[in-house]
Amino acid sequence: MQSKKAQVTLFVIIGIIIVISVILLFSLFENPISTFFPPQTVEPTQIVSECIDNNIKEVTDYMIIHNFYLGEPRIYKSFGYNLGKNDEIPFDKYPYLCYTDKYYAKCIVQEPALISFLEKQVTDYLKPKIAACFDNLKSEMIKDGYSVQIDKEGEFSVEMISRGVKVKVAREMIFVKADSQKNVGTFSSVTQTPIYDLAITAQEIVRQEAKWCNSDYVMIMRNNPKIEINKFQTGDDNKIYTVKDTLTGKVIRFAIRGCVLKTPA
Amino acid sequence: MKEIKINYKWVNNKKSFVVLFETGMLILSIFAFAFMISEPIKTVSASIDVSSMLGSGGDKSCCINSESGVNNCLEISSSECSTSCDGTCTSGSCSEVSECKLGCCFDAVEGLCDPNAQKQSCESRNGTYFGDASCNVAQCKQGCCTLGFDAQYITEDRCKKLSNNLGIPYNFELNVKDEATCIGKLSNQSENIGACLIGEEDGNGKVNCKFTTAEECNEIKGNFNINMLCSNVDLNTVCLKQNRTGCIEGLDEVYWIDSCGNRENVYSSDKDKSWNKGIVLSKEESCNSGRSNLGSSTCGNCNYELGSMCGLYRKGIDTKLKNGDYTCRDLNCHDAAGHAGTKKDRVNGESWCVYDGQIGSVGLGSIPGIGNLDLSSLGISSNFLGGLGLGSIGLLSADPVGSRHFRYVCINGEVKVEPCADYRKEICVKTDSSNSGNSSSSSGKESALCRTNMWEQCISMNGGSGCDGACLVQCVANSDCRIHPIYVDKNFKFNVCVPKYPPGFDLSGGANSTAGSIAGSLSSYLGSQSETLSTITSTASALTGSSSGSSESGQLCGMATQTCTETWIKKCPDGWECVSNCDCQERGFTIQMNNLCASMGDCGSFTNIAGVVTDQGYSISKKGKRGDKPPRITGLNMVYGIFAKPSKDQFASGGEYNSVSAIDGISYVSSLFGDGYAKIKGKVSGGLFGKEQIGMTVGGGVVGGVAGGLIGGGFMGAGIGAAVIIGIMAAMGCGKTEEVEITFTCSKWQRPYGDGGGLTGIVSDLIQKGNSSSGKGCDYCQSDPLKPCSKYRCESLGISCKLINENTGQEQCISSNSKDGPPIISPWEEALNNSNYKYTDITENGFRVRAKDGGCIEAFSEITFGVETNVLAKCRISEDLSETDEDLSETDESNDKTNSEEKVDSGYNFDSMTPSLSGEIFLLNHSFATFFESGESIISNELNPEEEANDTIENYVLDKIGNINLHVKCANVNAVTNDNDYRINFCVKPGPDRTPPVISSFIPPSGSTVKFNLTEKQIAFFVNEPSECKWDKDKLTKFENMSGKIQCITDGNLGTRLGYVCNTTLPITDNENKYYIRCKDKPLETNLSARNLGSPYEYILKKTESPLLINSILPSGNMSSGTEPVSIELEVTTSGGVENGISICEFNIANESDESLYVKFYDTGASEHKQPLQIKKGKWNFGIKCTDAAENEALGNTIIDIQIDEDYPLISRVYYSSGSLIVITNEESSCYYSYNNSLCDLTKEDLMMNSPDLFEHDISWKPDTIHYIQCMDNWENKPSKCSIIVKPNKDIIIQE
Repeated sequence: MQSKKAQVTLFVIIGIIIVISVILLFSLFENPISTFFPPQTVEPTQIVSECIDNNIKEVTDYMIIHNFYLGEPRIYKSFGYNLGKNDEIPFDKYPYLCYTDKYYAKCIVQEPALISFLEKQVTDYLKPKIAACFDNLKSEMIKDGYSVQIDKEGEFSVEMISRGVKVKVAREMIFVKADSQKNVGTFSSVTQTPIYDLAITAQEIVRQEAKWCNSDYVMIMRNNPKIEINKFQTGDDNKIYTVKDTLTGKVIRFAIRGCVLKTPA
Repeated sequence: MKEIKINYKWVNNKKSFVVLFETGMLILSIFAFAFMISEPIKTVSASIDVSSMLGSGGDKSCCINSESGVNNCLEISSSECSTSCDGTCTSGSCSEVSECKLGCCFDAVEGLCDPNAQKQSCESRNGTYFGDASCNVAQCKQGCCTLGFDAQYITEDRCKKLSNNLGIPYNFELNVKDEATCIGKLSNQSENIGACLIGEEDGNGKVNCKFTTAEECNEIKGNFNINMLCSNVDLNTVCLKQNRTGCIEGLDEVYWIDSCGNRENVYSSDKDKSWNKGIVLSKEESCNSGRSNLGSSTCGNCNYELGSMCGLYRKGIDTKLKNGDYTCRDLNCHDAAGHAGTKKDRVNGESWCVYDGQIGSVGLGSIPGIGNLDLSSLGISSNFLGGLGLGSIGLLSADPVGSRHFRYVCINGEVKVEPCADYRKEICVKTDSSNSGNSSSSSGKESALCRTNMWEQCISMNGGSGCDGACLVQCVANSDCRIHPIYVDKNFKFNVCVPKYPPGFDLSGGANSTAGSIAGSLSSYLGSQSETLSTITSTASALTGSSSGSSESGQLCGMATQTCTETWIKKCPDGWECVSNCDCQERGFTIQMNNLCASMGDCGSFTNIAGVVTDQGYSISKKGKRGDKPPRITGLNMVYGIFAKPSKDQFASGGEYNSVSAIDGISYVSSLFGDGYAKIKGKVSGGLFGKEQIGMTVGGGVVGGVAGGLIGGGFMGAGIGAAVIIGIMAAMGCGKTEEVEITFTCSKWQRPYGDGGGLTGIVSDLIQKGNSSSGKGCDYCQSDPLKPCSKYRCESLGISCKLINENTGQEQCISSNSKDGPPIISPWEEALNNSNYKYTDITENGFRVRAKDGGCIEAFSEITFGVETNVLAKCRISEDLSETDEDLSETDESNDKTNSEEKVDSGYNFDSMTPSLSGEIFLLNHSFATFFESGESIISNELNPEEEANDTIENYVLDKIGNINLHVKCANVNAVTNDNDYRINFCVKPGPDRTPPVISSFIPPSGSTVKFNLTEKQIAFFVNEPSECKWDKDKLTKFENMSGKIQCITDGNLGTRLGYVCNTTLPITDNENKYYIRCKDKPLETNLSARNLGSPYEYILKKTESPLLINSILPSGNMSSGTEPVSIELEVTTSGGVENGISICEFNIANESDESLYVKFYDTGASEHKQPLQIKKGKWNFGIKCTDAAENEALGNTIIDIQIDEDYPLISRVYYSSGSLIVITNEESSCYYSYNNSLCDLTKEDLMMNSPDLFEHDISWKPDTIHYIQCMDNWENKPSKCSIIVKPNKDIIIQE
């Protein structure tokens, strides 16, 4: 019984000591976290990679939400339709990827070479962002006591690939501190995004629609089980296609108008 | 009076008499014979220029890069250039503008092709443009690309690209014709796979291994062992067999996976059998081959074609395999709804057609799915039918009015409905596996697709006499057309090529299109069987003019408007007798003509999808005294209702267009699409289809008979007898003929009166439609969730049926003649957003919303609530709070009023009330949201509460918060609103308000960047209750000391759903500006301690660090071109601003300062902006304005002077040098030469001289040969003759 009491007392004392120690630590040191966890070594390439990665993610996510467009699509259909719990098409502006205003005519592909169009949009968006990433890196390194040498002005290229966007950056920067030197040279990063796969599927649907007034989307799905396609025929002779990447759940929608026969009035 | 003298001498001269008589007979015989053998009278054709209906006339222009959002190249009327075109307008069709030409765009990087792409947009993306819009070019030819375990039907360049990306070799076979065959090749790949030993041996002498193809193994420089698994003991690899199970991308089955992650054989719980001593086992050799293996726990040989595929096991859904977490997932659809109410298990990927009723060509006597019709069950006796000549009815195109074709698809266990285009513009066809193109159709599963209905081709095949000769062949060959034979009488028979699936019409137009049909009939099929030429001509000319305004439906129906001409003879002594086309006065004529009429489209007497038949779509008229008008088909027409019942085994034939790709192969599709009705006009403007000339006339016959008599007997006697008979008969009128015209006028099908529910066909019991439990009247439209209601379907049900909530997902077909009274409102429980609230004291006049404990609700907390209506209605709510405290059970005065105007006046004006949260949609459930301010807030907001209150302040406040009534008004589809004043009563807890105000929704949002040189920025935000707000740059400044003033709405009645708006102007001093905003509630409360202070809200505004600049504008200065208009590309580069030049640039012509004249660049939104333009010669001043996200603006302009070079190049010098003839031109040119073409009509195909710098051109000097040389500049300006002729004798002739 006595030993049990003693044990409890001991625990209480240890507890008090721990609490006091923590209080002391916090009051004595201005920045206790930095005291306990010294700053990690800054790896410039990693910092820039992360920065670019975030920007690619941001821009591709935006483009997927806005059905491939960074700005407003030139031709779009405002539409919204509730087809039930899983098939809802929220009210939005859906770009026409293939369109003709005529009757009895096949639709005209609005964004030929779609991948090239997407890459250009990403490139334009990234241009200032990558510059900002390097500026940020520069100021971080200077803050960390490095001097900065820029050997070469930056260049970069964007390539969309299956399940990602590849960015190659060539910019030579040397950060020198008394005891160390860090370099940024040529490197590439791949950011995971389904935009390319969604675009390739969209382009195939558009190709078939422009050529044959219809698409065999069941076969397209058969060839790519990761993609789910839904087609909705609106009351005014438009088609709204929904293409979903089943791995990420990301969805794009676009409209098509072509091969429309006139309704005799 | 003139005296006639008879020369008796001449009469007495017998010879002379015989000569005279015979001459007379000869003349008469000529006429009689001519009559007997006479050909039908040629009819006169008259046509209507229906192209005007399509608006295709007029002077066309092409608007390039229009802002109107229709097309990059938009064809508009020239007169609209200044008003509707924001880009460049060039005269002529867009197809004539080179930038707008449609072709094939090949993306060489991706190896993808886009057909029907515009040249300009293709080339701007580095695509290669080909003139063939269908992409029938070598680069776009598809073949089977095999990449490892994957096979795709793509172009060779695409195959290479994927191979590069994946880092695996490819195999491309161009001779594989379709996708299905390509994918099927995968299963035959086993001969080319095996274990690839890679790397060095480890300490135990084992090597690493990858299970792959021979090509890939070769690529990675491994040692390939065909048909062996990596776990094969003979290979001595580090990989251990059957480590786990898993799915392989692109393959259907569950596989064993070795410890290195390599695929082994298809899973079987019999491990040894599956491992197969480390040798590859083909799918066919694996367990339960040829089955889906759904529900099997021992075999993972899934088969996608049979509806199973490898996937993770789902508890409660799948059967778990004995080993691992993977299984064969069921992708099939069980008991899937099919055509005619059938249900059937469907395999994943299977598609099938579902129809509303009978489709295509059906005979009335024998209806698929119904069999030989027992009309006695409909109360129609067979004798009655026999009397009607039902046997000769033949076929008709049976798709009911309002019907649509649907394609159902089973995808991953779910049936998806794909409605084909409405109005039967598309039909659903069952595809044929033998000719499936790229449609899936293997393993015996059904495959269907929606494709364009080629009905217009059928119409255009007909000629002036209907369909004969080549038309018959073409019509039979076209699977969308059929021959419709009409045989009423031997002289009234013809064939017409009609649509097998007649088009649907816009039924919402005028009530009748009789005018159109008359016009159509006259224009399209003018003529009658024995009309005189003059009569037809005059009738046609009188009526053709009125036909131009007729409707398309009238034109189509009018094709079945026909006139049958009967011939009647007065016989002596029996009287008038019909001798030709006599059956035209029988009911069979009406039935046959109506069948033709209904086959043209939504015409005539026919049924709608609910089986309701109307009889007003045709009329019959008779012109002439003899005989009767044929009876209408009243009564029998109800039999048409049977066509609304779908039959189980009926489907549309795909024919030659049975795959998506087959449409492309039809050469005349483009012409169909191109001119549509114009083709109808051109082809079917002729005369009556069934014109057959009737036999001889009576007069002719008599004369003929007389002539015969004369030939057989003595000339004299017979001649006298004949003369006497003729005289008597003529006196009695015998032999006189009369013609009777019976015209069947086919017009647009007429919708049933009302909602169609009261006029259900007599066959409704048989077809179980119409008034059945599946939906009455207009409700029929929404009776089947798998057949979505549409405007066409709805309107076909009745005149009063109209579709509401179109394109909202809440479509309803309702009756505008609804006898629904004013909506009856009741509370909607589910709408309450908070479990702490409840409805109480529910009466017919309203209810109360209270907290769960029965008390009042919290102030400033959002509450959603709702009401239900007994009929579809739009509901709105008054935002004005009633101060009355009437009991909810009391009946408002307006309850007794029935006049809607009085109702509006009595309460709140519906138009000025606030719509429910669901907006302006007719629904049964309606929700609202609001919040209420607190009593304290009300008191503090009142400047003089004592004055406001008639009673004490306490009572005043209690009135305000203790008894709040919101008034609800609902209007049904006929705009009749509820009679009673429906009130929803609230009360707010009177306790002190202890909650601090909450700030939200800043405009612009925090963190926004403002203009470069901006010194202050006006902002706005919302607070959830009336408050006093301030700002300061220092977070710690006390509220009282905060320097920045903010104006806020303090009137509690002026709140919005977002709260109470506040606005202020903030100074912009630094690149990043932080402001701290705090709000204190009850702004007018004098007792400061009663007020609640919110915590500081950090709001940031950034300033643009550098101005937005236009760095360059191109082109500028002088430019020359050979032709007009000149294509230029306006290029602007920007820098600085908020996002380093990223901005939206606009341009205008002549640098106008008017904002509205600026037009956005086609390619903008980045730091480079491009606008292709086509401009004419002259001086152009383009103003440029660029604006970035922070509203930084940069202005600039460029002046371009376009000159047109119309002069051909001149030869400035010619000489011989070192074996070459050198020609110098005065401008950049290309020069061509010939040794024999003295006319110098040289083209680019001729031999071209070397042109090292485009000014100097040389060729080898050929002695003793004349050199004819012609030079053209970059704009292809060249002289009409030779530029120079150089002769070997050193004479030089310079022409022109």
